[in-house]
Amino acid sequence: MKLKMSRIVAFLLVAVTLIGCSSESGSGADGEVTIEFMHTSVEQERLDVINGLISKFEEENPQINIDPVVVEESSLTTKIVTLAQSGKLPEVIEVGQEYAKVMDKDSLIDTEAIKEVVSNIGEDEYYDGALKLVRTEDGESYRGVPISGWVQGIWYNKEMLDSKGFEEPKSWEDVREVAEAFTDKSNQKYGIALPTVENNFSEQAFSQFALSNNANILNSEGNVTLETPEMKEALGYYQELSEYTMPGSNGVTEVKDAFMNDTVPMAMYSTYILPAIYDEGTPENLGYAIPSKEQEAVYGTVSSLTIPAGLENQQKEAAQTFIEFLSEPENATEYILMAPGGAQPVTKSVVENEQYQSNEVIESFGDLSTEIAESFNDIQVFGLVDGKNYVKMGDITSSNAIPIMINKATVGGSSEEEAIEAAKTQLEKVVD
Amino acid sequence: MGKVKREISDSKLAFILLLPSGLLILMLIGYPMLSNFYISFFEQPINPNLPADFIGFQNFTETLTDPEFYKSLGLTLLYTVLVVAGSTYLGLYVAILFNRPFRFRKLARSLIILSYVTPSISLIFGWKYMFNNGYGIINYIGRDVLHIFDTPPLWFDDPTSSFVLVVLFAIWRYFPYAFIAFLAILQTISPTLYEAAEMDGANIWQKFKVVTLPAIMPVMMTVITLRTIWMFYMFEDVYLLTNKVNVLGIYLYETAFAFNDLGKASAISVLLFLIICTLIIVIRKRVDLNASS
Repeated sequence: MKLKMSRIVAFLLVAVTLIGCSSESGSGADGEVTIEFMHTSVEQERLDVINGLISKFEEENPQINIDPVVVEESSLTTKIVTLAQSGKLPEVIEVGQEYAKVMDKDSLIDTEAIKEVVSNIGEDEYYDGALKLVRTEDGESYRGVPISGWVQGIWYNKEMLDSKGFEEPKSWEDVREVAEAFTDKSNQKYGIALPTVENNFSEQAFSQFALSNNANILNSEGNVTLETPEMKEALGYYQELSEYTMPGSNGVTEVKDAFMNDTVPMAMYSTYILPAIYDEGTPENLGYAIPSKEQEAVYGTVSSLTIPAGLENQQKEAAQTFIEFLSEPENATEYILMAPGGAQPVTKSVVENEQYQSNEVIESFGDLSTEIAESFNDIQVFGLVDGKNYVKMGDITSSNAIPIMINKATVGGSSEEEAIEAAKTQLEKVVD
Repeated sequence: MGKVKREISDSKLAFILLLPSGLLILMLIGYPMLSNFYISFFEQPINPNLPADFIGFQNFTETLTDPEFYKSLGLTLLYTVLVVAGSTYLGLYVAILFNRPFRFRKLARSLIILSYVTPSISLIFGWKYMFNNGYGIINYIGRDVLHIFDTPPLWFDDPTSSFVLVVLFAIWRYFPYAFIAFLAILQTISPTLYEAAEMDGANIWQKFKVVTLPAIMPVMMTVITLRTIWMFYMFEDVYLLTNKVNVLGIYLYETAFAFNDLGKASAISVLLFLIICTLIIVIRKRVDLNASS
């Protein structure tokens, strides 16, 4: 009986200890190494592609095992903070350019290791627009290796615009005229689906109007410049344009739905509208315009693969090898074609790749696909001033001050001065 | 003598059986709590390899002098009180209605608990679609069918209507928990007690006050205590429904993950812990008072 009891106790203790342990990255005695790859492709068909690429990599590199860690995009930043706190960041992390800045600020990224990868692949391989988004503030290195991206602009329904005698809107004034002409609030028809929700989506959309009017959040000294006449003018314009959009806070769902069900003839959205348009069978009816006043401003973002700081050499090299493998034209093409049309190539070799060009979604949009890919080079984002990519912009975006400002001005009924003032107060807490 | 020995070995066995769960609690709750308390005195960077500066009580004083914290605390207390009262009352009311035989009782019971067992995210999307400003069914009924309003309210954009909706959502979502608990205890009350009360000439309210309420009181206090704790820390329901109701869960989340101020976020969670502890002690004291009276 006594023996039995002690066995039970021993078993329970072992069980408790085992619960605390899980498979983790590390290196074995025989030179094998296991690294973790954290990505956000949760959908089954995308997972299949990623897992396929991992198997292919492991076959080619039998000494390296990849352990995928799949995370919902919305909880990625929370995961990164908690894993970083416990010193358990995966060796390869898929992260957007904005959050890469936050990580870089806290020295969580091994920029030198990433620089090596980018130079091994060749800087010339990438579109300039993609590289400048991940370049470090000193311009010497990179925060991540770009793997895919998307651009945002004004999508318009050619037939609807034609029906009222409009052509592609080229300027702020054109956009306003079209929006006004199509707005009929009593019948719930609006001129443009404009993001007004309190999240990044609004900041991204607004940035296109602000930057096309030469209004950036930071100046060349890195100081916050919210109160410039150009910024006020851009916010005033955005506020006016919101008169012609659906009431309330419009997020990704509202904007996309309104465009897809012909409630509006124009929408500010990313290239991720393309797969939906393809499914509808109307790719030839889609037009793409870029807000323009003093200059054209395309918003875009790159998803990059980054390597955390402080890794053992063996892990670091394995991470570098894996990222280089994923960046090979054939594999990168497969990666991009997980969301054909939505995800945009960041290297010229993918655009030239036969598999990419012969994809039915890409083919169906004809010249528009090329036009979009080329617009990658015209990308401008808040916090990127004269080629200097300020790290503090990550904190500004993270704080949500700009979307709150936009929401106040468009939905909350505040004047542009009040909204800017509130954002300024909030940003003072974030930026030293 | 033999009895004493038996008692000792019994308590030993109890200790041994409790040991794993005790260890688990220490590991999974005790350690994080202490670590959280420790971090609250530091300016903590995300990167653990960077030095954390000891700043004493600064995180606490900053929080306690931030008007937003008090706004958020007031809102959270109001939210908690309304949801706990609403969901407990509704749960009890429906449980009393269901505590009698009728056709399709089992089916009706299963339908009642649907809102509790469905994952939050699908219910939240359902509500957001229902109240969507463009094509929501609420606006359709109110504007196009019943003509109650011409311009529908911006349900989740106005702080007041957002607050009312998150409270209604939580009452509807969580009342089945109270319903299940109350139905179980109601079924244990002997019908003879009600018969006796009736013979004494008691009306419905008197029967409820004299027979039902004392019998369900322990369960009611447990339901209220647990629901208070859960609602006080509520984050995801409110966060996913609207940006306009800044309850403490959201205030804490934003401090930690939008402003990346981990030290201050830890200080806030220590304060929340103290507040909820006080609240619970007060509630439990009331139970004891009731029990003794």
